[in-house]
Amino acid sequence: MTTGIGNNTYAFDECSVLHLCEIKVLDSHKAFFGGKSHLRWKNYYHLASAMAKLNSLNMPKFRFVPSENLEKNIIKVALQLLEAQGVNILMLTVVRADIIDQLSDFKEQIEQQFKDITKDNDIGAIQEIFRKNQRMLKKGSSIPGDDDLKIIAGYVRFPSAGQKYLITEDEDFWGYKDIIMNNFRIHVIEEWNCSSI
Amino acid sequence: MILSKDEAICLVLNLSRNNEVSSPTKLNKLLARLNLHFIPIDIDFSLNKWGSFNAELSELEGDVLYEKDPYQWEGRTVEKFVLKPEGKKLFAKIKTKLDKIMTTDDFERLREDIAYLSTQSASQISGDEHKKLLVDIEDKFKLVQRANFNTVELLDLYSESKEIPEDSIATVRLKALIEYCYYLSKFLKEIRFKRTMDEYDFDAYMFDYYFLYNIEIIIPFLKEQTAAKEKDAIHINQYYQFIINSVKGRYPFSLDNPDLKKLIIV
Repeated sequence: MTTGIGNNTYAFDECSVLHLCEIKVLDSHKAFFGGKSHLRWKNYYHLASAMAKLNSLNMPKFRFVPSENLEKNIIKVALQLLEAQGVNILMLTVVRADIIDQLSDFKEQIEQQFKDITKDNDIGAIQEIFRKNQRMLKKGSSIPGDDDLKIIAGYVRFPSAGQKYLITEDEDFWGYKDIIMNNFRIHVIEEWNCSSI
Repeated sequence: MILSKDEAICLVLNLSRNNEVSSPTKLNKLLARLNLHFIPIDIDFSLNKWGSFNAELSELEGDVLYEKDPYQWEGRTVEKFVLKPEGKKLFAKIKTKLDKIMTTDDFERLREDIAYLSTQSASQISGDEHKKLLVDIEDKFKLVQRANFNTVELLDLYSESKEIPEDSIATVRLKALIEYCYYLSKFLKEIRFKRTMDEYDFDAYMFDYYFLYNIEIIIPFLKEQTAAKEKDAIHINQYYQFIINSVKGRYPFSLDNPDLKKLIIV
């Protein structure tokens, strides 16, 4: 079996795709953000570097469909971006809505750069493995949610001649990276480590 | 979402009787009317004696989308605007854009309004607009009442809206719309319409009047949506696009104004 990087599959979870968005700061609010013209997620440069590397090797990037939690993920990423700034600003909801609009537009545009891996609803056996190995994560005792399990189930079924990599910022994945590797042969790469792919 | 000048002209001509408008002045008035239907258009209007006015529209020449057709009226030559086949084709594209912010019923109301107004004289259309927007000197006290009403209503709504959980994009937009309307209404009350003028307000920027009127129109909707479990995403988006996005770079109270902070009254 060929195991060169060219045969590997690199998939990004939805929030990591959204973390690639550079948010243009509204002119009315630049002063609140220390004059910054753009807001970028803390792992933006790692993700952008990984994307650039894959692009330079002419390798496809993958995402998971259907995108059932898109709205929630967009809202979550908008909140993450604002919280990371730690600023107290006027018309905060208006700014948040503008960031959400930019993320929505970005998602529509960037989707064309990704190929699809279909999630699988058959998650019973996978869920059982996580139940048996339930861990205390930073956010508390938890196993991956149903949507996360559908991602793993879909990725397991997805044919790949090389290794499978899942790039994510979600603790539900990287908190179980050894379990996921040992049971499903999927390498979980944290966003902050993904520039090394 | 904003319609370009050409798109707005084609929309108005398409909805007008016989796909034509009998004078540049009337075309001016009909285009301005789109603002009262919450349709963002890339045309600025100032106030003159006959209501909303844009000098460039009076100088319009025909092009591939529409033509100017001279005719005789009361012993003088007047030019009417007539939609050309290319303009009719463009209408399909315009309709797709409008579908994001209007329901079928909204569009029918727009169609009826423009079709009816296109049969009226420019001065009749102006008269109707004056009445709605309260631009006449004798209506100034009503204008101030409207500014006060909006501010008081939005103070309560803004306070209530903070309790709405942000569980969908429509909900965030609704909250943003209420927040923006609250500060915009204070700007209109405390800065733009602080002093009632004894003279006709020739320097007025029509968005002051459109916003004041449109905010009053949507307050019942905002109240209803604040309480509703299912949000009306289409109308929230329509009002959001018109009030927040349509004036970027064209109005002092705008998210493109680096000095907006000075106009936000806390």
